[in-house]
Amino acid sequence: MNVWWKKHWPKLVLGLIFALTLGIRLYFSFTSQTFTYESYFTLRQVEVIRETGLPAFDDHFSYGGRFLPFPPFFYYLLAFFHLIMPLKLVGQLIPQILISLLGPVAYLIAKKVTNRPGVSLFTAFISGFVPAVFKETVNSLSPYTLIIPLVFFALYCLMRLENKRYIYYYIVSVIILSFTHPVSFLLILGLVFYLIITRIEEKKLDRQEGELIAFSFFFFLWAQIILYKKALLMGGINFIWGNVPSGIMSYYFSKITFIEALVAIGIIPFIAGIFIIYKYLFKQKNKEVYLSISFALGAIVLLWLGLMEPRVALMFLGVVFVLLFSEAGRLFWEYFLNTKFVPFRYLLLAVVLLLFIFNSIYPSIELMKEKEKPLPEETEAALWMKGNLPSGVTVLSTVEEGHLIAAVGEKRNFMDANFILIDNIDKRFQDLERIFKTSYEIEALDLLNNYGASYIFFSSQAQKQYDITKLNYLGSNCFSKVYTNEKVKIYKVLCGVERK
Amino acid sequence: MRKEKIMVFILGIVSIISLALGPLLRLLKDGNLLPAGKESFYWLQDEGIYGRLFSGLDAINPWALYGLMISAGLVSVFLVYSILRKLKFEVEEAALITGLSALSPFFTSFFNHPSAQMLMILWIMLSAWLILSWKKYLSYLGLALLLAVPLMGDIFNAIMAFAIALIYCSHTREKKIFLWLGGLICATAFSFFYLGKPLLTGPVEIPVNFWQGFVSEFGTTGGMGAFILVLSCIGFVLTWKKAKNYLAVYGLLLFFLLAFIFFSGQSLIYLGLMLMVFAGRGAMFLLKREWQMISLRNLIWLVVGLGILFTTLNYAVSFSVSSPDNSLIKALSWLHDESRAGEVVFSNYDNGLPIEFLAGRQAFIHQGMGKNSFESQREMMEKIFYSSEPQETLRLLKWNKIDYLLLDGQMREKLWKNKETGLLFVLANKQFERVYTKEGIEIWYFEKS
Repeated sequence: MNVWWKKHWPKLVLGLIFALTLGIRLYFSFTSQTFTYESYFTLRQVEVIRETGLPAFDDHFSYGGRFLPFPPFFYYLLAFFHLIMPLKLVGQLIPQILISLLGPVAYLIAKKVTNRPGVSLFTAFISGFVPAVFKETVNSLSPYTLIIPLVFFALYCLMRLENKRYIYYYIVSVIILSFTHPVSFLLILGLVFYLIITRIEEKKLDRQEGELIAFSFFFFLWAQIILYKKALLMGGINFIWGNVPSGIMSYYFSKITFIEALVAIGIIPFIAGIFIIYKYLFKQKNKEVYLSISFALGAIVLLWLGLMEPRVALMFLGVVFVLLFSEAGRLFWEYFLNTKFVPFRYLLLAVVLLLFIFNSIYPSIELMKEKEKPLPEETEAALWMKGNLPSGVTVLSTVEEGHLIAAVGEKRNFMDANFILIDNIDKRFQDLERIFKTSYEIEALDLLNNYGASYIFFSSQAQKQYDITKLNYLGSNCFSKVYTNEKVKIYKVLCGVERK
Repeated sequence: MRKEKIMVFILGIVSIISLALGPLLRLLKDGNLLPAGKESFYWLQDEGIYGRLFSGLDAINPWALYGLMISAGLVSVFLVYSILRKLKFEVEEAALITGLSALSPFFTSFFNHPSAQMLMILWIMLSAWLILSWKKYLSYLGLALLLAVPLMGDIFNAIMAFAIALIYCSHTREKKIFLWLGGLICATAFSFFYLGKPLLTGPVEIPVNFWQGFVSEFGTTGGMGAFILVLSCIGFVLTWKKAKNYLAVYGLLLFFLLAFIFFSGQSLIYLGLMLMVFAGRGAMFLLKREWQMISLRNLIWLVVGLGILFTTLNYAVSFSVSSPDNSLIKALSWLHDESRAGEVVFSNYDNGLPIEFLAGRQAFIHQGMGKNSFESQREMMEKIFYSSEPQETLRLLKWNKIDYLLLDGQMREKLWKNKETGLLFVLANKQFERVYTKEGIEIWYFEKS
């Protein structure tokens, strides 16, 4: 029994960590009545795939009707589970299982780097509570729930090329990532930085590593050309920047301060990670650590170029710093065992655990609570629209609510967060703001008529976002309230503007 | 020897397919062999020797014109291969470089549109081939042919001719040969300064973002494929160690790249050919390298091959649907029959040259105008399109003596997002009468009085 326990205890503890992480996530998932705003896009795609076998690339609801290319693997994966489970259960369960797999992946990487099960298990535990990741993935049907564990699994496979099956695992990972989300380019960029760093540090690259990196690059390029062919022809190179309105771009970047970024990554992993980067770039050499460092560099470069949102960059950086922390943890533990404080090692472990609870777990939960998602009243209002408004009408709402309008209300939205290939996106975004904030009925009507919007979805989300309590031009007979609940009012536009 | 014959045979088949695919798809789609694109119509209406040749062939039989273009392309392909072999490139590498060129839109598009550039490339290739025979009289014949280039082609053709002569002279180091260089410089000066020949010929280019004009996948009908660019980068890095052997290519590459960025897209053919040398080197590296995993090598080659073929197919499909399509041809044919000579037609500049050639009427704006005239007409065109004052629009149309307005679907969709301003709004006026509407094309008659 003793021998069996000695051999298998890490797996048992890892299983417990996985169960704990998944359990906490599922708790929040099942106690919430709604998903995050962007999840409604996923829900709609899953339903469309279930009905037609294909995703809604020609989207009749988004922006009143538009062509939208995107990698469909994640939606097909959820649609597969939808064959055997209700959609809501799929949404609550499957993404949380996927993201919880990050723990075992982090364990494997940490074990390969440090060769210490204890430190690796601790890394697995804290990887489940990276505040940036926790915030963006709980209650969320985001492709990042698949991408994050898969990217780091691909990284682990690159560390295990001496075993041939990991080569095939890596190839399959790259293929799946290429068809899941373009942010997978981070893997390619990270590998390019890895090549550069190993060259500078005069570390020899394995031939297999070079070949796999070449394969990753070519396959990813080919997959993106296939997926986005039409969009590239229509939008040219500007398509790569996602066509995000400048108003939203400045909002993304101004929203996050350094302290907030530090909290999102985790203070202790950040400090430990910086120490390891310094140590292994300037003092010692370790190829496996370079892989992690390369990823951090890749995320920073993409963030700097505006190709990655700060919240996404923080997710990847958070996980990378946790992995780097494992090596710092090993070094610290080995140092500590040689000091006279060694009898107090369990006390030290308890203190470190407490520190992590306060620096990572507690912020994770608090940040998750701050994440904006629709109120039950909003989904109720959207459901009402589905049954009571004519089909083919366009409903004006905030950008975040756009997917809700399309998925639940099954009505055309004015604007949503899929900005690519939309002409004059800045003007549209500014006009949306003007419609909500203007005091002049004529201006509001002119803009509404211009875009063909015949209903306004005025929610508490809109009030908060535009810092208004009501629409200032509703006094006349040109607007009629057709629905109201505690948080949402829906108005019908009755008038038009005649031009002479 | 047998291996080379097989390679050349395959090269020939690949080239024919690549060159003929676009026109064939166009024929299957529209049932006509009318040339496509502004370049074609510019040269069909050229009053010089090129215009007479192309329009003459087109008048005899449309197949004859395409026959000339595809033959010129095929001969150019074989000349490129032969030149590379004379420059001591290995059979496989020469075949790869030539094959990649033949599959690339930058090369194929030059031989799918009748133009002076198409014939000049053939002429320059032939000259280079003769020069590289290294036999005195054939070389002199090649140099003599090069002397004619500045008189017949544009500035880039003249520069390329000069570069070929310079490389030959530096290789042979015969003093007499420098006389040829002097002759080329004189011919260039005579042609462009004394005779006043324009430095660039062809339709006015609309400035686009560099990447959109350079990479096929970003929207240009010609351009370089993304995978070929990647192979070129690999080849460039590999050749850097032996930079001395590639100095001439580096120099020409840099020159034509800068010319492409700052001067004209017409340098793309020479830029492309230089890049193909590196692409071939990159492809050879991937082919000859000892791979640890053969299956991975095969997978990479499959992906690269599919990527290159995808670019070729993409170009062929773009060519087959390029303007003028059947609906526009029918509309212009109607306009030719129903309107009077001398009447002016207002439309987007893309339709200008087809209006002039197919309808035989004066287009308000077309890309055959000089650059300054084109820019001022374009300003006027935008004022007319986007004016929010109907009276002003009417005044501008009268002042420019417009008789007809031709609107296609793309114009309506792209140019006028707001139905209540712009030209579409003004058409409600009684002075406009819709005289033709079919398959998305509308022709409006404007009563000026």
